[in-house]
Amino acid sequence: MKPTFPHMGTIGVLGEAILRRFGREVILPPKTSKRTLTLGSRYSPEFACLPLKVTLGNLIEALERGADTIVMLAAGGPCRFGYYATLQNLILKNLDYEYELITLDYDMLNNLRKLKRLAQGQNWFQIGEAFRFGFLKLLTLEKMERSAHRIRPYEIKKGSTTKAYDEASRIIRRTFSFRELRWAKREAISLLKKIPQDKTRNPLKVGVVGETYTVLEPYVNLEVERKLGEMGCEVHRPVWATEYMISMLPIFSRWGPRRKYRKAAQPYLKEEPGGECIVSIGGTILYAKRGFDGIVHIAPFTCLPEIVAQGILSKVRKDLGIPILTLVLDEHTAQAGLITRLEAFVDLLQRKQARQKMKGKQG
Amino acid sequence: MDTYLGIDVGSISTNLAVINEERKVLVWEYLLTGGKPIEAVQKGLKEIENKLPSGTEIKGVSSTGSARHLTGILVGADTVKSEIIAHAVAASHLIPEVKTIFEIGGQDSKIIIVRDGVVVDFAMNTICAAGTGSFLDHQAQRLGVPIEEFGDLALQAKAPTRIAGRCTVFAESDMIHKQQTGHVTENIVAGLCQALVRNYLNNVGKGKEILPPTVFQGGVAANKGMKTAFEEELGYEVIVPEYYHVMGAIGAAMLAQETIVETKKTKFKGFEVSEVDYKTRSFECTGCPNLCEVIEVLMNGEVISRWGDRCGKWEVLEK
Repeated sequence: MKPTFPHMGTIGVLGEAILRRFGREVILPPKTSKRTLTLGSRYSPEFACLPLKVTLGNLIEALERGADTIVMLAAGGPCRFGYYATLQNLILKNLDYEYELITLDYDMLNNLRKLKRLAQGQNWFQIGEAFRFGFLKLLTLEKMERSAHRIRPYEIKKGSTTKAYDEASRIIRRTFSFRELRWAKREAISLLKKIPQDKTRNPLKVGVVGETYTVLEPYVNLEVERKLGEMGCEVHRPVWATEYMISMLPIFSRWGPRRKYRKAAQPYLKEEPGGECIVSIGGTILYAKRGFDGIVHIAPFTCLPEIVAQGILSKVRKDLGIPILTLVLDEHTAQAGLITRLEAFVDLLQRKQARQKMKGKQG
Repeated sequence: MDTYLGIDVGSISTNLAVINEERKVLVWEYLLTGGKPIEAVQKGLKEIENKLPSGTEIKGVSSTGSARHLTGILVGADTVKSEIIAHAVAASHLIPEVKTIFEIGGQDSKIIIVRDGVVVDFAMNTICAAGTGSFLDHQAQRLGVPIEEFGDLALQAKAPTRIAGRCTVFAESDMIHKQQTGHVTENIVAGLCQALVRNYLNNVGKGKEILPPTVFQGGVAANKGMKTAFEEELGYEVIVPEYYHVMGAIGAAMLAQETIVETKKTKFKGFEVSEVDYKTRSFECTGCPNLCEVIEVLMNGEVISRWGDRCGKWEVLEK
């Protein structure tokens, strides 16, 4: 059995780590590229959302590389994502690919049975350790990403943070034991610390909110976070793969990491319309209250939860006076148009900041 | 005399404007880009040089518009800014209390919301040409009306025809249908203006707080029928500034002035740029499955800049 699963930002690290510890040979899809998108859009329904198309492309490319088992989450919710596995299975079967599909969903007992099979007879302690390691590895990687977001606006040489982060991520990705990971973490941190920085700068603070997949997958969002960073913005975001995984577990659906966003969004929205709608709204409100300069809201075309969020966010913008830029992405997104919007948005924030500073001096 | 030059290279037109320290427009130039931005900029520079009185010194240059990066490299711009900011700066200088800016150009249209002289929100048309100058251009051709006479003809309409304007292609079928049922040309022309305005306000202006004073600029503002259609829809007067078609370039010139206050010295390569041999070429990078199309700018046969790659490996020129 050679399992595979689609990419979603850094989440692949988790799956790979766990399956490797189960003694499986994992076949990861190649990095998402134009080819992935082309393949995915060719075989998907036109009006399906972008993540479905890209992940289908991932699966096709992994099957081409010799994977024979697909592991997918199929939670029945939180949005159309819950049906990806079903639909992609249909499409791939029509394309005559041979593989086995293993879906993990809300039926926890059944999930455990499936896990036991994937784990090739390892005992429950070993399985638990595999999960603990996977999460720790992903958390470490996210920690590096978080510091890269903080460092980037201060970097003296453009691109040096991205280079250091890529190297740090490579070091962490190749670890498969707790001991290796500890060493790798130390090395990665020192790499990021070595980036020459100009601490006299006063970067803008920008929150990136939106649908999980498009926020986490740099290829799909045209590296919005890197671009913002290089234009001089400190990027924060409420969406992280680890938090996402935890909030998917039914026991945490009420008390998990999303609680604070739900609470913040209360005045605008009492029910969760699914997806990350509540996080986009709650996150925006929390960032605005912390004095952020602006919010970039990312969503795939036809994403219902984010369309709801977009409508409510225009009210939030008026109430809290925070500029919000919504970027809607699909396979036709033109890079030039997106960059013009981002540049204009950052210009807007910079001019606003300069104006406030001048006022502060006078007053 | 100290002056500042702004260059706005858009999809349809290339505009240049020179302002003095008091931000008064001295000379301007409007020419068609014709798909050749480099040539348009060089030609425009030559014209500007001829028009400028002798003894004027260009103290700063800025570029904007969709070809802003290319132009910036060509002329040695002190700052390269998006057209949204350029348009907003120019409009709020001319009408300081402006709250809303409509900008409708050849292939894109934008709305800019300004409060207390600062841009607080903006939107651009996304995937469709309906709501832009191209829509009118196309239908004018179809009707056999020269685009210059379009506006005046629209004003003569007594009962504008209602035309479905959501989509450029369907608008055309609807228009032909109206023609064949006997509607007169001026009513159709006025109907087209109204369709464009409706489309613009519903798509580009969706969810935006549109308040007076409102400035209407960009090439389409030349069309008096459009101005009237906006005024009918909004219920108040819409201001079309004197230099409505070169506002982007004027704004860019103002941005150049702001930049020079900080940097002091300009990077402008001089009007000689119009004589230099610039070329662009592109190739497909085969380093990964992304197959990025990388663009190279050559000056006298030497590569001076590259862009278009996702990973950035071509962007840095090895010296």
